[in-house]
This record gives sequence, C-alpha cells and structure tokens, in this order.
Amino acid sequence: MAQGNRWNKVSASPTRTNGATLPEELTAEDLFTEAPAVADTALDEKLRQAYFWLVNRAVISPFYDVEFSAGSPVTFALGDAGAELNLPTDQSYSSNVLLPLLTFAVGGRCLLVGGPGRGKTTLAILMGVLAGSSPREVRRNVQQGQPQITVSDLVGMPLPRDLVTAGSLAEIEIAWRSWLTQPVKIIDEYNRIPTKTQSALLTMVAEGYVESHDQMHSTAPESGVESWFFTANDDAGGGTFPVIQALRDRMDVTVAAQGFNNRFFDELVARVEAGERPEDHLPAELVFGPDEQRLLEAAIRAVPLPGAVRRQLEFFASHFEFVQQGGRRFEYRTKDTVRTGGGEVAETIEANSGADLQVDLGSQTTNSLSVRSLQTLIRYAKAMAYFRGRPVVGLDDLAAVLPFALRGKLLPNELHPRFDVGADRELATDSISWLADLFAESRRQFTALGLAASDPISDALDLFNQGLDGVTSAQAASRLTGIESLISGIAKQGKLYGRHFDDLLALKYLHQRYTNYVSWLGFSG
Amino acid sequence: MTQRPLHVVNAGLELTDEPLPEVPELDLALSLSRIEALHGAAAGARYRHFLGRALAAQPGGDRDDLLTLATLAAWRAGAVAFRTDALRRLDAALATDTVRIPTLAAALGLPEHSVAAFAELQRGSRFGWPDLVAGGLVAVVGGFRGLFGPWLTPAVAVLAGDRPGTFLIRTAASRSGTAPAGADESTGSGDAWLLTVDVFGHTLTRLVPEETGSHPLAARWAEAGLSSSSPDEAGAPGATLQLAGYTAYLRLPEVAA
Repeated sequence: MAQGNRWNKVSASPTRTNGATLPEELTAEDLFTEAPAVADTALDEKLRQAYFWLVNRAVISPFYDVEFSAGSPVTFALGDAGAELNLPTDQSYSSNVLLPLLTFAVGGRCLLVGGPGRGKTTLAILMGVLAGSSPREVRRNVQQGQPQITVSDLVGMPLPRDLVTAGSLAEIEIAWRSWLTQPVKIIDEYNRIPTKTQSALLTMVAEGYVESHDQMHSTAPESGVESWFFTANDDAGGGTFPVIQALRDRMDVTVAAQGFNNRFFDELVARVEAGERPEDHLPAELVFGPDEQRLLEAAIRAVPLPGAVRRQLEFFASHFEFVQQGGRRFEYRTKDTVRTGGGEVAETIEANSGADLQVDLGSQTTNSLSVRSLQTLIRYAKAMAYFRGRPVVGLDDLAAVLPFALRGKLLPNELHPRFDVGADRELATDSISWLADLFAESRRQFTALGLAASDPISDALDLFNQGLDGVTSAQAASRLTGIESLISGIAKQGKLYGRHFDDLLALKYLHQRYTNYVSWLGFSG
Repeated sequence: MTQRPLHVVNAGLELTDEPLPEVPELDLALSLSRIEALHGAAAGARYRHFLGRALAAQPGGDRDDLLTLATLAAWRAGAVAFRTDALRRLDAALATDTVRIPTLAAALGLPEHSVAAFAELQRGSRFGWPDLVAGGLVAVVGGFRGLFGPWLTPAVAVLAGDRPGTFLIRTAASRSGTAPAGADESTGSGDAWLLTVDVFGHTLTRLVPEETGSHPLAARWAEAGLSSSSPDEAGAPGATLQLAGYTAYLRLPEVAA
C-alpha cells in the first residue's frame, strides 16, 4: 500500500523557541498583537524544518550526539567501563544529519564515513534534492569512485571532431559533464579513485574550476553556492587508493554515519513494503531555490563571533604549534619544523621533560591547526549558531562543531601516555570524543588561568591597535618596558607551553613595532 | 523540603471558568493565547478568571477601557512585564473615573474598598498588597525539576539585581560533576538565573554563559550569600529572597523598630 502522505509532514513553526528572552516591559497593545511569528521566508526556520524532516522522516536516525543543555543535563553512569548517558535539556541534534545540512547551507565539503549500507549516499542525495534538483537527476549525477575512473570520465572529453580539425588547443571544445555545475556534488567512495583522478578532483574542490586540454570550466552553480559530499568506508587511509593529503585536508567536516537502531524496525518494514525512497518525497516547501541558497550562505557568514568566544578559540589553537625541542631558535621550536625536517614529532614531544604532559594539551597532537581548519571552524560555528536561532556564536556552538571540523586534521600523538594506558585509551580511536575533551580541557585551563578577567597580552595588543598617532617617545619606551616585563614574567615560570609560544611571539612583534617607532621618532626629530 | 512555586495572593483563589465575551473592539481570545504562551496555562486560567469577572461587572465600554481591564487582568494573572502599563492605567482610571471601582476591583481580585489603597501601596513597592503584613511571605520560587520547578541542583547563592524586583541566583554544579557543552565556567560552577518578581508573578530565566560572564553582577558572586534584599520602587530596602535548598522564599521586609 502506498504511504505517500506520511512523508508530507513538515514540523510546525516555530521549531525552536529561545525561551530566555521574555521582554522586561509589555503594554496593553502587546496583548492584542500576534507574537512575532517566524516568517515563512525565515531561512533559519526553513533550515530547521528541513533538519526535522530529514531526521524524523527520511533518515531513521535516533542519535542525538550533538548535545545542548540549558542547565545541567541528567546523567546516568552505565556499565563498569565509565560509560555515561546524558539527557540534554535543550534541543539536541544528530550529527550525521545536521553536519551535512550545515555543509549544504555554508557551501562546504563534507566527508561521510562509515560501513556500507548506513545511508551515507542517501543523505548526500537528499542534500541534492534540497537544492532543487530532481531525485533522478541527483542520482544520475553521483560520481561512483572506482579504480578505473579517469579524469575524462569525471570532467568530460574533447569533441572528437575538434581533435581532428583543431589547429590549436584553444580550438578544442570540451563536452563538460553536467554534474560539474550541480549545486550539490556527490563523490561516492572517493578512496577508490586513482591518485591522478584525485588530483583533478582536488582542483575542482579547492579552486572551483576544472581544466582539460587547456580549457577551463567553472563548477559554480547558478546560486554561486556549491557543496560537496564525499563518502568513504574508511577514514584511516584505507581503500583501493590512499586519499591524497591535500584532498583529505579540503574536507571541512567529517561525520560518521551511525548504525541502525533495531528498535526502529517498523519504519524499515514500512519502507520495504511501500517500495519508497525518502528523496522521492521531499516536501516542495523545503526546497531551497538559488536565491535562498545565496541568502542563507550570506546570513550565516554575517553571524557575529563575539570577542570572548574568539579569545577562547585563540587560546585553544595556541596549544598545538609549539614543541620544546623542535628547533634551536625560538621561532623554529615547532612541530612543523620537526616534520618538514624529517623528524618524528611524537619522539620530539617525548624528549621534552620540562613540561607536564598531562597539562600540555599540545603534547597530545603530532601537528597543529592550519589556517584553513580555523576558517572552517569559524564558518561552521556561525552556521550552528544560525541554525539554532542564536544572534551571535556561543561557546556551545563552537564546542558542538569543533570535533567534526578537526577530525582527521588534528592528529593524536599515539605515544602520549593518555592513549597508551589508563581510562582514556579508547580516545585513540574515538577522535570525536577526544577532540571534544581537548576543547573542554582548554576551556578549563582558560578559566583556571583567569584569562577571561585579566589578559595583559590582549591588553597590550589592543593598546597598540589603537594606533601610534600622538604616542610620544617616552610613552613608547614605557610600553617597551612593559612588554619586556611581560616576557620576563613568562620566563620566570620555568615551564613553557604552547600558549606561551604565541604570547611570546606576539610580544616580540609588539616590541619590534615600538622599537621601530621609537627609531623613527628619533630620526624624524 | 522542596515546595512548588506559588504567590501568596493566589492562595485560596477559586478560579471560575469565566467565558470571555466576543467584543468587536478587541480579540480577547488572542490576548488569552498570548498570556498562555508567555506564562503557561495556569496564568491563562487566572487571566480568564479576572478579565471575565471584570467584563461581567461592566459590559460594554470603549476600546481603551477594555485595554485597561485586559492589562490589569494580565498583570494580576502573573505577567510581570505588564506591571508598569497596568499601574499607569489604574492610576488614570482612578483619576478620571472612566472605569468603575467595582470593575477595577474585579479585574484585580480585590474588595472594592481596597483598590485605591492597593494603587498607593504599589507606587512604593511592587510587593504592595493590602493583606500582606510586614515580614510575611510573598512568594515561593524555584523548585526541583522533578516537582514542576526549574532546578536540578539546589540554589546556593543569591544577589540583589540592579532593578527593583530582580535577583541573580546561582544553582550548584551538577552532582555528576560533568558540565554540559555550554555550562557556565566563569562562575566556577553551576548555572546563573535571573528572577524578576512582583506580588502577582515572576519569571525565572537561565542566563546563557555569554550573558553571565558579561553580567555586571557576575563579579560579585564572591559576596553572595543565601539571602539578599532587592530595593523597592522608592529605593528603600525591599523584599528579601531566602534560599533553602531547591526553594527560594520571598518575604516582605520587617518594619523598622
């Protein structure tokens, strides 16, 4: 029996209420005015409706692993191996649906990993249908990774007529594949694609164009917002061909497709009996047109990142670059120096007996965060805040997306005692929990160091950023003394951590700028 | 012992299922839905009770009279945000006699002879009510989440807010010791809540960590104790909030000796 109607239910607005915003003063007229309803065209509301349709109707996914709580959640200790189950008090989400949806919204790149038959490709196809393509069109445009796929298979081929008659490469017309300009591009099993073809894919993903026979073709769709979905059965470098690191680095977020919960078998039986696929039943009102996709992406970029949240992110990122024995000169004591010089970062970290490895968060990783990773993190934190209807990015938004944005980018140091022994051994393979814990520990250190209340290095940078106009030679000299005093304060602590590395280099920068300024003042009389 | 939230002025109140009449000037059903959306079904029932009785006492009236009665009923039902407008309208009605005293009394749930006295008391303090005595209980707020309250852990510190009738309350950290992703770490532990209260009702909202960290009172947690007094409208010492486990008791100040 056909059960088409059961697909049509779209969550009623508002899908999210930010209850803490009761007005302080109301008047009689407010009693007789409709509550500021969520407009039909509110894109964040539409995005949430799409999410709830996906999670409640399309993907049988009762996982709520992206947790938010207004207050403390109820927590149950389970089993005898330290398992805990939290019951969040605020709207919480399934990462394997939410992160792909946010990728669609920001025009990003999402890697879906997990064993076969877990709905990775279905979810990616649903994103294509959300962007306005027909299910048939999206399915046809899925690029199946396989060992024989060539660059021509992927991008198209020159017209045979031109190959014979053309006098130069410029005269060759290329029959570009139609999937290239789709708003949602899906590459299935990308770790089965040969290395040479992966390189062509990298150009598309990284630069937004393809090249063949000296011809270029932009992959931008009508909206200008394109999102990519890759699937892989393995995230640890396995597959027919190893994924080239540059392509792997382009994945903005990595999400695991979770297993099927057997308590939801009835829905599975219904689908088998009805012979239905969710992508064929997406309600039309949930489809985002090209203009909406453009506005959505712009609205997400416009969500402000408050200074307090930015400072926490700066502090977190500062842990990972420095390694004590990484080089001789102070600036070169980095993991990158060790790696590019052919050394082993893990062994260099282990050789450092000066710092407490339990406290030094940087010692848990063999690399640091790239600028690209940080940009991704900011973009997805904004998307999370926007999705939740928050006016600015909160720390909880950042904490929620951070593990998915840094998975596969911030790599664990397997020689670290944390992964070797004790209660945390499982974190060596559960990178999402490890990254979430890393950020939580960074926040605890930030609080313990009192940096929210007093941060003299930020103060010094702020003072400098006010400009040097009118600063006298004596004032500049006083600031130089202050900078030296701050450096001396760090030096007296004895132990050196990653956070000091950025602070010291920032202080050196300020010292240089003031020194040059004082010289200039002296020169100009 | 944890208690359910209550306001003493509602003790013994027997709500009647007053029908709201259809009036051409205003959509009364809409106003009822607004009160229910802001403060829940119990406040909606009180609103219907007081407004229904007021309209029964004085059928007809122009749009402004109806607005006055609806605002008074909303305030009386526990919608704190309407207090300023309701009090202004009450003073205007008493001065101009546009709405009769029995009607105002019905909207406020007062005897007719107490209406003017009530208005005078309210000018000095938002907790003014003819039957309340010095040192007497005004309200019970908070409560354990399992018993219709908002808190999972006991309230451990309170500070007077920067406006009359406001308090900042901190609850203890989770017993499991695990903080949620957005838990407030700027205060060391637990959650911060803003209480806004008057004689008829209150709102208790959790401050999100960004608000707590930047809140002007956040730096004063160290001096917070288990009780605090919020100044009244005239700037004199107002009601005192006393924490006792999951429950907070709001009492009027004792009369100065």
